[in-house]
This record gives sequence, C-alpha cells and structure tokens, in this order.
Amino acid sequence: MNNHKFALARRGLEMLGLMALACVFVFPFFWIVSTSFKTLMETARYPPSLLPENFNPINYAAAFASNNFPRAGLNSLFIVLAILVLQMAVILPASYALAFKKSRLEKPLFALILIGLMVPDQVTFLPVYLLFSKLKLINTYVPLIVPFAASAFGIFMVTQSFRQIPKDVIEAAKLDKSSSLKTIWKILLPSIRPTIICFALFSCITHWNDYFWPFAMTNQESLRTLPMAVAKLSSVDSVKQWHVIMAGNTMLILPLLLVYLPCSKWIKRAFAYNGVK
Amino acid sequence: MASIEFRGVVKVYDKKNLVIDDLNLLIEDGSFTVLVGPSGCGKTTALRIIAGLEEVTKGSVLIGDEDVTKKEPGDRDVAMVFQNYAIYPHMTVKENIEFGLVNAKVPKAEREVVVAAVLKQVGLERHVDEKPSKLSGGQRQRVALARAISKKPRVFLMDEPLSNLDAKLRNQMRRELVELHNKLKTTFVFVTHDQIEAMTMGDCIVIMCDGRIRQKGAPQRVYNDPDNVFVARFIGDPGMNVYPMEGGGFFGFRPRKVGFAGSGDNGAGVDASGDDGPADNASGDDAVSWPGRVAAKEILGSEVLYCVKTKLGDVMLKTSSAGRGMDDLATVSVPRKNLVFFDQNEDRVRDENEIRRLAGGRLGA
Ligand SMILES: Nc1ncnc2c1ncn2[C@@H]1O[C@H](COP(=O)(O)OP(=O)(O)OP(=O)(O)O)[C@@H](O)[C@H]1O
Ligand SMILES: [Mg+2]
Repeated sequence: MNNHKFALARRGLEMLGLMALACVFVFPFFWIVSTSFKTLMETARYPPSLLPENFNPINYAAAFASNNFPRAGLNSLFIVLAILVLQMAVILPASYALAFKKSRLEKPLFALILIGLMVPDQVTFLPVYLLFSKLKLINTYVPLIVPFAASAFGIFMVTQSFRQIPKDVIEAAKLDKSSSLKTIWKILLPSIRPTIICFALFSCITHWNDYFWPFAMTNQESLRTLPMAVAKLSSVDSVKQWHVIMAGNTMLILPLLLVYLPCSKWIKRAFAYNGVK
Repeated sequence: MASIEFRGVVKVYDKKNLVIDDLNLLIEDGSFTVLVGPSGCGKTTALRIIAGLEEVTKGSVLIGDEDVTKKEPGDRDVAMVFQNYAIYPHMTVKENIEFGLVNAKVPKAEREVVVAAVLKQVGLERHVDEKPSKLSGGQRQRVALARAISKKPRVFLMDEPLSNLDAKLRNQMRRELVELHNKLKTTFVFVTHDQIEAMTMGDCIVIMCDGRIRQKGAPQRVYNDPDNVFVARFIGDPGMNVYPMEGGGFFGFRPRKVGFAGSGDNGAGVDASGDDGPADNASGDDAVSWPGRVAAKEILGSEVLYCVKTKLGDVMLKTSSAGRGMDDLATVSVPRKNLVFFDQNEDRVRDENEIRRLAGGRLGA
C-alpha cells in the first residue's frame, strides 16, 4: 500500500518535472506567437501581457508585404527541397556501397566522411565562396544548394542503419531475382524508413533555418531566403517593430511545425530500429 | 530437378584462409542430401557456392548439366532457406512470397494461384496478410519455406533452417521437410551440424571436416561402416569408442556393441540401426574385456548410457538394463567381431587378413 503511494507520488513528481521542462521549451514559441498578435504599444508595455488584448492579424500582412517576403519563402522552399533531393540521390548509393560492398577503401572512406562530419560551415565557406566566384556562380542558386548535396551526417546515419539490416535478407532478394536498385528501393528503404524520415526532417530544418550560408553566398535581393527576410524586418526601422518581427518569425516556424508533428513518431523509431529476427 | 556437381572447387577467404580444399562431390538428382560436420568446416560456404552467393576461387559448379560457376544467384533456379529465415520484415506474408514471383515476371493470375497453394501447403492460409513480426518462429520458418517452394526451383538449399526452433517443433518440421521432399521430388541440400538431424532426414549424408569430405553415403552405411576415425566418432549418439593400438593404428566399437561382462547384455543390445548385431552372448575367447568403474550414468528413457573408466580410457556404453550404479566396479566386454580397425592415418582397414591380424593382437596401447 505504502509502496503504491510512493510510486504514485514519484510518478506525479516526474510528470511535474517533465511539464516544467516542456514549459521551458514551449514558452519562447508561445511568446513569439503571442507577441505577433499584439500592437506595437502593447509590445512595449511593462510588465508585459501574456496574451494580446485583442488579436491583430494585420501584423502578418505587414510582415508578408515587406522585404519581398513571398519571394523569400519560395526561395527557401525551393532550396530546401532541391537540397533534400540531391542529398538522397547521393546518400543512398553511397551508403549502400559503404554498407554492402566489400572493399579495402571502405574503412578509410568512412573515416574521411566522419571527419567531414566534424567540420563546421564557418570553416569551409571561404574556400567554397572563392571557388564559386571563380566559376561565376555567386548570386545563383547553385552555391546555396550544391555544397550540401553530399551530407556526411546523412551518409553516416543511413550507412549505420543499412548495416543493421541482416545480410541474408539482401541475399534472399538476390535469389529472388531482384536487381541492386530494386533491392534498395523495395527492401532496404522500407526497412530504414524511420532513419530516412528523421534525416529528411533534420535536413529540412537545418536548411530552412540556415541564415549564415545564404548570407555569405548571396548579396542579391531576389535570392534571399526566409530567415534573411525575417532578419531584415528588425533592421529597417529605428524603433523595433516587435509585433511584425514576431509575425515573420511565426511564419518562418509554422511550416516546420506542420511537417515535424506528423513525423515525430518516426523520429523515435529511428533510434530504436530492429529487424525481424 | 537437377543434380549438383562440384568439380575441384577451392574457396579461399581473404587470400589466405583456405575454407574448402579441392571439393569434388556429386549430389544426385532428387536426393535429400545432408551436409554435416563440426562448426566452421565449410558447410555453409559450400551451400552458398551452390547458390552463387559466394564465388569460387578455383573449380566449377554444375547444376543439371549446366556450368553455373559464373551465373548470378537469381539465374540459377535455386531457392534457399536461411537459418534466420531472411524474410522481408516490412512485407506481409503474401508479399514476401510474391516478391520473387513478380521479379520472375509471373502473371498476376498465376501468382495468386501459386501463393494460395503454397500457403495451404505450409498451413499459413490464415496469415496471408500478416506482417512477419506478428508471427511465431515456426510460422516465420514456414513463410521462408513457402517462399522457396513457390519458385518451383530445381534445387532447394537449406542452411540449418531448424536450429532456431524449440525441440518439439524441430521434430515436427523435420518430418514435414522429409514429406515435402517426398512430394516434390526435387533435389534438397540441407546443412546441419547436428548428426541426429542428418541421420534422420537425409537419404545421403556428406560428412565434412576442415573443408574436405570425409565420407559420403546413406545414413545406414556411414553409421555401420565408417571410412575413418572422424566419421566413426562424429556419427552416432554418442559416437564410436575409438582407442589407439600398441602397434599403431586404432580400433573402435559402437556404444551399443559393448556390454557388461557376465550380465548377459554384453554388446547384445538391440541395435536400432538394424544391422548385424551380435546374436549370441559373446564372451570368453571371441570377446575382449576391460575392467573398470562406472563414472557416469544417464537414463535416456528406455535406455541407459554409461561412461565406464577403464585403462583404455572412457568407454561409452548404451544398454537397456539399468543394473549398475555409480562407482560400481564393472567389466566391459566387446565381441571381437564388433571391433572396427583404422590404420595410423585414421583410415579404415577393410582388408580381411589385416583385420584378422589386428583383431588377434593385443588391444589397447
Ligand atoms: N565472409 C567470410 N569471410 C572470411 N571468412 C569466412 C567468411 N565466411 C566464412 N568464413 C570462414 O570460413 C570457415 C567456414 O565457414 P562456414 O560458415 O562455411 O562454416 P560452417 O561449416 O557453416 O559452420 P557452422 O556450423 O558454424 O555454421 C570458417 O572458418 C569461417 O571463419
Ligand atoms: Mg553454417
């Protein structure tokens, strides 16, 4: 009986802890959304109000109308999708080879890729910039997309999940007259779906939110991405238009949330993949 | 249906690890051939070479009369059942079976018929649309089997397909596989390291050790008439008692062919293998005996397995009478005609005169 009570109390405490933690993470988002509906006067008030007095969707219109916002949104969408498609086209065959083709080069190559995983953009952007400027490709979409076509992280993740697939499943497919491409498509990909979805989300979030790279690679208005457009909201006026900035931010975050939420169960699975024994 | 032939096959892994050494073997059309041997002797490798999953270093492999050495696994018209089943985890039972048929461009209507037929054959009709993760080990094994049958291959290859099943199910599946073979009359090649499985299932047994064939023949034959010490010790449960002789060479006798002196059961136990066991209670001149002490006793249902320590070493003795207890003094006795002899190279001595000479001499070194 006592034990039962103790367990209950423990569980309650755990829940409380988790809720507190959730609040810490959720509050900034809540604050962004809340502010995005306030008036400029209200954003400056002290103490600040938790919820807007009345909802002003007009802020969104203001954000949308500024800085070529729609164009920036489309740019971001295009870049993110193009990167994702290219990444898949590189990652899948590369990982297949690393995981299943015996070769003396396999280990050194994999090590090289792991090293690639550790080099941040800030280290590589200068040589990459110089390269593209020599090729006269600065101020096109190319330097925004192509440098990300080979993702060390993606190759690492997918190779590792390929390696978890029992070898005899692939051999069974061979005996079933399945070509390599068909085996990848019909047997391997479905088995590692959680990993693929998880990586796709990761890639989308990273490149959707990326500010540094497009900033370094472009100086032309028409190539602006959404984070740049949002950032620009705060730099035009001397008085910070917090309500408009937050409306822009909400529009930046919302698509990610819409993609992320239905996929969250796969993310959990990606870290707990098991084949049928 | 087709025979399989290895011609001078050599397999070397990583340029230095010789796994199969000059293998010459004919697996007859329609036979149920069992490759058996201790772990690491190259059974799986041999099977995978037939399937084309492993390339040969030297030599050639024929299926039917066709040289398939260079052919892709999918083009060899063989089906394989893997130890871990290797069914596709994300596909339903039906999709698992259909995958190969679709790749072989079997028309849809025919596929439906085949799938229904094989599922009925293995008793999985009720699980057509289930995912493998919902099935028990035995059911998964049947899916793998159904997938193999559906392809109507010339050759069935099985690599220890029963080793993940519990004892009861294993027995049942053994029987079902033998029945299946009787029905299909296709060539079966079955790999196991369990000699009982080999003896009960195969109509031809190939005993391997260190990448070489030690003997090939019917189960009766390899049991009664082993070619060498390795086979004698490997086949049988337990294997033959084999001891070195004074003048070089070895002699041995089956645990069923030895008895306790003076108890009337000396080596006269009924032999399940049905060969010419000693009809008389051999003793005296035409029997040899060694005094010893019972060191272990194991009751196996109707029979008792004793281990008796003698100056020869441990003698295993299988009999139907449970009269002796632990640490009893006991003399074991074998009729001379139940002895088999091997030369220094551990090969069987079959020459009559030579046997008479050896059998007359002093036994035990
Ligand atoms: N892919 C491989 N690379 C290198 N060596 C291998 C490979 N596969 C098998 N071997 C070696 O070949 C030898 C025979 O292996 P094999 O799998 O044929 O044995 P087996 O008779 O099937 O044994 P078991 O009863 O344990 O399955 C072993 O010594 C093993 O180390
Ligand atoms: Mg094996």
